[in-house]
Amino acid sequence: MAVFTKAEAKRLAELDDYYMALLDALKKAGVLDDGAHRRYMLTGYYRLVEFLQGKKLITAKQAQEAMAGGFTSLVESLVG
Amino acid sequence: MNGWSGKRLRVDLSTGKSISEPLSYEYRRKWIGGRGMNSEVIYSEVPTTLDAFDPEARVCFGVGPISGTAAPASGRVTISCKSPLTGGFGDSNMGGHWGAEVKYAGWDQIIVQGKAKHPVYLWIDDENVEIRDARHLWGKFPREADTMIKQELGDEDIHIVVIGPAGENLVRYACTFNDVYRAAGRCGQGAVIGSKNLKAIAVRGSGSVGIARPKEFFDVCNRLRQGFKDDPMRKFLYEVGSLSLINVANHDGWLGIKNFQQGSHPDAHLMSGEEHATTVLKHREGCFACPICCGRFTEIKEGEHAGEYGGGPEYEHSVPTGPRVGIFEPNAIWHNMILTNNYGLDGIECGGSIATAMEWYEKGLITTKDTGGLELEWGNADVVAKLIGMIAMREGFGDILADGASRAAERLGLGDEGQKYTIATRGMCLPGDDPRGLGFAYGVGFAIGTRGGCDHLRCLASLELSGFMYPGLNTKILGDERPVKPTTTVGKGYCCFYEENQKAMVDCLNVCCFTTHWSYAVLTADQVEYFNAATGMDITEEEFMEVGERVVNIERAYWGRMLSGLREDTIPERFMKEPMPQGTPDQTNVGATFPVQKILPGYYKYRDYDLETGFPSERRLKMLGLDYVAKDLAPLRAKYNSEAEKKKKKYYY
Ligand code: SF4
Repeated sequence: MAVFTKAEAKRLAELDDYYMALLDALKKAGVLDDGAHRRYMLTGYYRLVEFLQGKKLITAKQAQEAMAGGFTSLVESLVG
Repeated sequence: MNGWSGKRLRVDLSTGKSISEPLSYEYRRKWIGGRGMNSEVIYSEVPTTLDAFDPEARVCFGVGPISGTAAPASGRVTISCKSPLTGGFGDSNMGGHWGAEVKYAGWDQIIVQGKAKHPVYLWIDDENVEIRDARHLWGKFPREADTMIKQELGDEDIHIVVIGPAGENLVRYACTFNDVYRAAGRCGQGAVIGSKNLKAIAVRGSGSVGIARPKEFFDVCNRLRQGFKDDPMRKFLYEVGSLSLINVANHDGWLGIKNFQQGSHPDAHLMSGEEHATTVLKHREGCFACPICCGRFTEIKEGEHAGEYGGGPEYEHSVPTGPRVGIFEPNAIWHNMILTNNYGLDGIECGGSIATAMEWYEKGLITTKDTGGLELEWGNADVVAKLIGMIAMREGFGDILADGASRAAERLGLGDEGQKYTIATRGMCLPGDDPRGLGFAYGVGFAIGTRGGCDHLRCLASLELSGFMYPGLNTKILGDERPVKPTTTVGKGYCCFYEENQKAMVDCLNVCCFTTHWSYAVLTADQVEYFNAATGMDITEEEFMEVGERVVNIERAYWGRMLSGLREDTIPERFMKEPMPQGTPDQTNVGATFPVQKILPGYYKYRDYDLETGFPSERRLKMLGLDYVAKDLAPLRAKYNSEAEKKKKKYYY
């Protein structure tokens, strides 16, 4: 599903502090509300991936790739 | 009741009275146990203006809802107080079997307040609490006192918390033992206990711990225990102990040699766990329900100390009175370890204070006139051993170092130049790990640790230390594998936030962090699983981690009340400005410095700390159900940023 532009994906990949930026970007795109933003900040990346898969924003295969390749792989799956 | 006992014991040594207090469902859910409940009591009952040795000060002993069960390594206990070393919030925890025994006696927490008229010890036999004369035990080493109490009570199987002479003499970093050799080292609880004229707490429990869903609970515990069989870190910790780190630290250049002037040395391998295991290792011993069993005992076989025997070594205990003071001869190091244990001293602050004094001596800030004739040269093993005794007994120059490095600098009138070499933050000497090699997230922990500058055991960012043994784990939790590299700033802000909350929960449950952070055989989801099966409370992973966040915030707020915040979140200048020199040919971090200020802003974002003060924000405190804390901090935010306050240099409180 298209959540990020290529430029946004590139910006995220270059950040030192990529995780908060990723959560913020997902919130801005309406994927996460305040509660979910906080939940995945507390519980970590793998719970975020599970959530996105549960919401069908990424496929099972993409979720697997996101767990193997990390957030850059996840963001790629969300680029429109 | 399942999990908890549902009550705590409060003993007032001034009045001789003890009472049982119920712990409500809401309270248990909010603070869980151990460190959480203790931190809440210290925040609520110990004013920041109170002297740590005031009889009204509290010392809390907390265990958790799964203490004393089959959950891996579930026998730890957290001891908390206002630290006489830093003047701020302080706690420390220890293994052994005492924590489990407290639970079997029917208590989740013991709070001691007041001061006895003469030395006493507590005898807690299930519900019965007796205050007994301990005048004959005063001055005894922990091992002697433990034996005498067991004989007196006619029971070899009881478990005893005890302090050594250093605690009696109010050495500001005296530690506390149980089962003779298991120590809660940091923050000086031993001195607070000593200030109350309390020598020991003996406990016998005949009860058990209720489990809400036994089959589910034991299935989880069995699964986790099986997991330890193949765990790579368990193998190291069992076979070689925490001194398995010596060769790693030496290779990666993070061994704090000569007060951190060096990170690697050709002779360091002599004190490695591998060498120890083939020379002086007497036997191994684990704490309650531990699947790792890292504990070891030493018997010195040769030289002037031949025949000496004692618990240890452990990395953080032995590096400060070894390489940190320039000693590499192993028997001298084991001797210092036995001495600090006998006297009841925190090895880190003791070695750190001596190393600091050696650097003052080297730089000409002090001379033999100040030291009473002692020549404080690096590697002078006789002087170090002598000083350990003098510190414990508060004799001569030892009396000055007994106040810790930061206060000693002040007592000697050494000003900022003296403080520069203390290698401490918030009044506490750092442990023996140099962030220029060990890792940047670890280093951030030194700056923001809620018990002062220790904090190899607060932030405990082991994802960058042992993460390489668990491929994919950094990605699973942090979303990227790059943070596993120690000297990168990538992902470290989040790493610190996650690990700090997670470690707080480990301390609320009072399980051993070697099972959850060094070894990652028990992850957050596993902890939630056994917690829920034991207590029946059924909380989510989010709520579980939120408790950790709450605990960190109330501790941070205690410092905020003392006007300690963002400006004090720093590390010794040495790490930021002095490039790591070369000590051995294959050292990997030559030239490294640690850019702590590059990581802190990211960390603050996760914490939602106020960027003007570094205090927890009102918004986050309210979200955590800490409205009363937000109210306490409200008037202090402007005060912290007043011109007068900005000018103050705070080395301790
Ligand atoms: S790993 Fe070591 S310190 Fe931790 S509980 Fe086991 S024996 Fe004790």
